[in-house]
Amino acid sequence: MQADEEWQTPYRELTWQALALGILSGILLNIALIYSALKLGFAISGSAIAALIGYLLLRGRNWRGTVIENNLNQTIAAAIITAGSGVVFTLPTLFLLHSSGTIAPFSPWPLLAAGVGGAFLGVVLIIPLRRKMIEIDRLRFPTGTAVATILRSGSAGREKVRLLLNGCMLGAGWKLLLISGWLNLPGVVENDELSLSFGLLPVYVSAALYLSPMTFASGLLAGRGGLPFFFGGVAAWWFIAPAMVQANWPAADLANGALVAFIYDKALRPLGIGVLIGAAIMAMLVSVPMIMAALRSLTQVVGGSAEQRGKGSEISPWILLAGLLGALLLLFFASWSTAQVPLWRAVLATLVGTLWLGVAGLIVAQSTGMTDISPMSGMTLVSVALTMALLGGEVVAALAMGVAISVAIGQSADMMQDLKTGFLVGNRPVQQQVLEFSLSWIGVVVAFAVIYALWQGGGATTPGFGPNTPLPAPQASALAGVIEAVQNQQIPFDKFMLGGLAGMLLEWTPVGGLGIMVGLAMYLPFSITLTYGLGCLAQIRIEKWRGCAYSENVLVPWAAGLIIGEALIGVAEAFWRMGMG
Amino acid sequence: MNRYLAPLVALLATLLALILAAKPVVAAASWPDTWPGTLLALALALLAARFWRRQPQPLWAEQENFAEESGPLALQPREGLQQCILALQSLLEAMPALPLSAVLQQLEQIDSQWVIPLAHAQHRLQARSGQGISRQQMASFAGGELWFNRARSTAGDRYRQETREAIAQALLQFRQLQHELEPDTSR
Repeated sequence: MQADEEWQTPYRELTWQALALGILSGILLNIALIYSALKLGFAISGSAIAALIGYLLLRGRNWRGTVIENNLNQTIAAAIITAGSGVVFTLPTLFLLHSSGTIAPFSPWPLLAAGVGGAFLGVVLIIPLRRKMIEIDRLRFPTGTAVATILRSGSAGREKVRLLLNGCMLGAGWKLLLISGWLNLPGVVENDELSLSFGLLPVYVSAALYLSPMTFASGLLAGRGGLPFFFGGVAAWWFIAPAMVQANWPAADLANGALVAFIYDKALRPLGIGVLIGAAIMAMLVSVPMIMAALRSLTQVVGGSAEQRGKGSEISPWILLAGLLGALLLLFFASWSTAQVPLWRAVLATLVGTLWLGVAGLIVAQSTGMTDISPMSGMTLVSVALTMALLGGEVVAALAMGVAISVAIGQSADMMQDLKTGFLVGNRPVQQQVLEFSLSWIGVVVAFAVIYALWQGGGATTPGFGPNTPLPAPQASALAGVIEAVQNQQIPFDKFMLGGLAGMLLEWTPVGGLGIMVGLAMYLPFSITLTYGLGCLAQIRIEKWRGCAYSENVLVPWAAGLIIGEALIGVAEAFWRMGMG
Repeated sequence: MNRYLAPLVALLATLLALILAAKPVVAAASWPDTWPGTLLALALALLAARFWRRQPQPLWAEQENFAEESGPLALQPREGLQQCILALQSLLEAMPALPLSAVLQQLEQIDSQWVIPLAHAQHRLQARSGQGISRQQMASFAGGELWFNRARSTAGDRYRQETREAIAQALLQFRQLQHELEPDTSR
């Protein structure tokens, strides 16, 4: 086709090619990323990779595919991949606990039901907040913005493509340098961190920069909106940590790394989780009028004519309601069908678990929207502790709820991220919502099959994954440790409660999302927060200097390139390390 | 000075509460002996936050520095919206004679010149109480912006009819918002 020729056929949106490619690439990437998560301990976002695959396969041949068609392909793939990420951090824990003799043999079916229920719930509970997060609060969702830049790169003009490629090459090149270890300099650059203490500052102020282009680029995309996150980190590590040391709260014999680990593990991290929970509860309370308005507008579409329904921009509330009820039934089945759980406890766990799931989903979606950083593992740990308390210490039933909640909160964040991408390319939200709602369960089923196969692959005497195997499953091992801590009543409830009150108050202030941002900053190592904050400050300076149009047209594609470049090399590194055993 | 006092007290009191709450506990499932101080600091923060909430608010979620901008960026949303509508209307009328590459170029120009600054300005004014931009109006603007974004995608994909329809829908939404922003002259 020549440059000025035009298509006369109907605009391509949801085609069978997009559907098939989305499902196929979603399943393949899900399998690959589950394997890498068991090996390395972290999940990699598949949205950008799925968009690139779609760009090559849907748009590459004669450029016939469209931006919206690729957006739908990427939405499907991301939904399937994300659902798998939720399973991989929880389900392997049960296999590990079983192999260590902590729990008796268990049936996988209630767990599968819980995972599928979680996939539905994560989508239905977050949809009413779309308008608030995307249209009114205009949260940035850095990865969603980066994916939109990929989707539109063919039509956005040469200058933006050039900026995207420049950023991509810089991000990839920098990541390669870090992996190669050439930048390492003992005492100055270690573990991808540049020390800023110069031997003068005390170690507990954690003055170090995380040398990740992706983190810096996320700050560039967030700008002023990300500053509370930066200030939260400053408060945690430059005020709270020194105050603790001055008050002689840590034991006198702790020094260097042990002192930092004590401050982080015993105070800042649990307080941060508490702040996050309190802030999310307050955010939900503050959002009630908005949620009600969203539900009312959904109901008006249902009550309208067939023509109006056809033009509706959101999924039908009847589908949401049906999904909610179906998911509740699955969760109830999951908790009741495991041994030794009485009916009343199963009902209580289902209702409280669903409520908590909504709160946790909101935390993760809002954190992702503001900073691109997801506190998913912390939320999963709290979820398992909560459900163990509700289910009288029954580990299998608690982990079934843990699977559901982990899958659901991942889906909530992914749904909102994809809706942001869709908004930026002009896709109708209803198409994406229906696809996520109807297809994300595939990711759960695939993840179960893969994890089960890997476990069985170990043979009768050797575990398929876990400590001292080629697949150490670090996150699952950590969760198993937490379960043992809960059984021994070692959970820091004081930090959760007091942090929760502070989080509620911060979220109630007029600075939108302040509680979530401060909680997240306390929960994360300071080097990440500092790099992110520098990105925010750089964006503010550049925008003041060159204006907001420059920021949108130049900084956004360049920062998107940095994110994509590092993500691609990260995936390549994961596969390379797996290949090397 | 008063403008900064309430936020400052609220944030410092919360920081103090967090410092006191950070004291490690001696035994699991117990409370640090600093908990009354934490609650006291939080009560002070709550009081200050009440005053803070009553003040006109700056924007945090996205950037606000339009006071320093010149030209179209300095416009109020109503004037900016009017200009944006005129630009889109002209483009719609000129479309039959233009190749789609030129349409896309004009759409990108309108995006840089009007839509992005308007989105920021709308959000800025919405965040400041009493300046007439409601959440509903923000949502109406976003509705028009979504159709405008769609027009950019369809024009890039070289689909003329869909581009025309998307521009027309964006115009419809923006005009509706313009109507909502008109001052009530009946009073």
